[in-house]
Amino acid sequence: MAAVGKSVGMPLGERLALIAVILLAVLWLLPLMWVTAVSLKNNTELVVNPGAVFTAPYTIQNYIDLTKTSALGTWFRNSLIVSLSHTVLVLIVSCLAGYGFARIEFPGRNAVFIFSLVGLAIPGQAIIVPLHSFFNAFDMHNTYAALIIPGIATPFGIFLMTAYFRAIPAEIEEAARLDNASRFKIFWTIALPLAVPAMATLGIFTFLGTWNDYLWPLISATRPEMYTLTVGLAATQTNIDQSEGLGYLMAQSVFAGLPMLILYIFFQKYVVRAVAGAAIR
Amino acid sequence: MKRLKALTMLGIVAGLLATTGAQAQTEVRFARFFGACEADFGTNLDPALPSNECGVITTLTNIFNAENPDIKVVPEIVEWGPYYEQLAGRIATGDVPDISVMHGDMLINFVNRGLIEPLDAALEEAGIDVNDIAEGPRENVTVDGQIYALPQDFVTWLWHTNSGLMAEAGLGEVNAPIYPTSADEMLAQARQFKEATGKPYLALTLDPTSAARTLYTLMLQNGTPLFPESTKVIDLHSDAAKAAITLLKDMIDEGLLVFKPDWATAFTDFSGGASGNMLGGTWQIGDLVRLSEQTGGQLDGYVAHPFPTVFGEPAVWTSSHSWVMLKGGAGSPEKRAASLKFLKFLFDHNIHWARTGHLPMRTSLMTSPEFTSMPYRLDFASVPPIAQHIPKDVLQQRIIMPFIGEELLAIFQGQKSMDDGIAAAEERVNTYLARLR
Repeated sequence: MAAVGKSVGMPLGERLALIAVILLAVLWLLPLMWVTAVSLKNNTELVVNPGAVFTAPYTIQNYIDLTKTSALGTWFRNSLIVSLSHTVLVLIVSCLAGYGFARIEFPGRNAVFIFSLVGLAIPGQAIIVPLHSFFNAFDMHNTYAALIIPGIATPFGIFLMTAYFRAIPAEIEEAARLDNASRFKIFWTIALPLAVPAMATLGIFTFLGTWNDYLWPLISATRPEMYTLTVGLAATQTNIDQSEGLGYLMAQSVFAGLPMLILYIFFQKYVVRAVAGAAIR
Repeated sequence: MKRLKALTMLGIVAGLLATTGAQAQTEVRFARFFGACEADFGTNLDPALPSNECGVITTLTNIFNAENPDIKVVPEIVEWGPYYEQLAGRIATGDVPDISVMHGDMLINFVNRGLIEPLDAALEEAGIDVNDIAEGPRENVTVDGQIYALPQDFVTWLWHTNSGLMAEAGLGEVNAPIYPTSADEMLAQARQFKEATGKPYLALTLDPTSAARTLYTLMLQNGTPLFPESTKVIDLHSDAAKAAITLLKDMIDEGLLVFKPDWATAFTDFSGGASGNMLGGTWQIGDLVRLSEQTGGQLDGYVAHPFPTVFGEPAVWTSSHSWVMLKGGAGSPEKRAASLKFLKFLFDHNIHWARTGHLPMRTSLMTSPEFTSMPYRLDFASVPPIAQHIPKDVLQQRIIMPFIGEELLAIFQGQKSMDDGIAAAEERVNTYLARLR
């Protein structure tokens, strides 16, 4: 309503754009609203009449059923540990590498930088077999390490942080160097705080990607106690044809998506900036 | 002080005994799909309660664990789709489960790579009478004279029927519908049904595998196998194949057979009385029984019936679930003994699996009142002799059947002519099979 109120006095073009944006937002929200509404419906009622989703009664029974899956807490904890650890490690590696490429002169710097970016062109699925063999050789499957380590040297992260550090004026660091500050101190106390917006962007994307990852946890974490939430929830599908139990299925989706929603609420400024490409100044 | 010491010693002894007890429990790692349904059956010990695969296998596992305190069967559940990919990953890493479920049509891919233990001696050791296993499923898991799996059932293709609607169209009575005995009769009954009810006679999903299973069944009924010469080459140019495709296409063109986009829609529409029959599988019976009881009214007189014989020879596509012991699993004598005990338990309680809709694999159960009195099933005793697996030597059946189905659906939906669709299916399947080693 506030947006509509503010639109009074806007040029016609902007008003039309605003209406279009609102329509697109509604269009985007509809599936989410549908998923949530279905998750609050009785499963049998949905089979008899899919249109029942629009009318009461609603129930939280599907969510109660979800909590009866005894391993749910373990899977949630695994996802949290893996996602947070992976995100922290990606940030450490990307920031160090990015700062190095942006600020430190060393022989072959450009060649190494370009080589590290080649990874952007290689899809993760293409290296899944050697990756699996590698971790197998070290007997590391079904461990947190196997779930966390792959992908911590992400080409995207290195590229993003390099670009961001390069955009920070070198004069700021030169002043510190004149005061005999060490390279690491300059990195830690000057460059890193200035790079927080880019780190937030990278961190959010990394966390989202890791939380939603399915393929690698599926083949690496084969013991149920090591499942992440995506693999665990998929295993609780009770019917091969998905011919019923739609409400329960949607409750699973909502549950799995909640942390993402919470993350977005707290970090929406950075997410929006990241999507808009404003992280790289 | 003495009393305190005595109590402390007692506590230590009790603790040690408890620890020893816990250590004595042998763990059997049981890899399976069928889903997880702890919310409904996590603690259930009544085998009469569940009616779907997940509920029955969960309950059977609970019962076994309760009856055998020295053994703990731990289900390791993966969803159906990526189950075999994960299993391959587990084998590669040496993290091999003690017992694994396997579809009969996947077995040969693992046997050929030497990944499965032959079970002849193990089954004998467990006291399982292999002669009681029906010939079809047993033959399907036998390679070079050795049994590689303990079959669990017959999984077959059938008709789910709304006998109330059929009766309304003059096609039998409620709970006793009549079915066609020839292609002409099928067309005639379908027209009669549509005229009386205004609804399609038959529904099928757009799932390619479903289309392929239907064609496979009709070809067998017409006396022509899908693999006439070799298990590497399909032939869809036969008169039998063309007659089957023509029959289905004619029904589609007249609106007598309709497609549903997915199983959820198919179930919803069928439960709502949208068609007289729905093509489907035995695994859906339990869910449809429950729906028919819960929804009431529109799915009036639900029954499941073997695929009607419309081309002369009674025959129907079938497959089986089976239990295998992969090489590298059940390594210790204790684990092996515990695993075999669980297999014997599943064999002994095979009748409960039939509650899902699948047919038991034990010949002795086929005519038992426990099975023949199961509700909603018509004439199921006729299935075992006519059920035909895809030849067991055909590799990657789960990949080639959708190839055939996709081309069939293209024909049915008018995207390809029959000749083009048939040629495309043969080319895709035969080229793929030729590449396999």
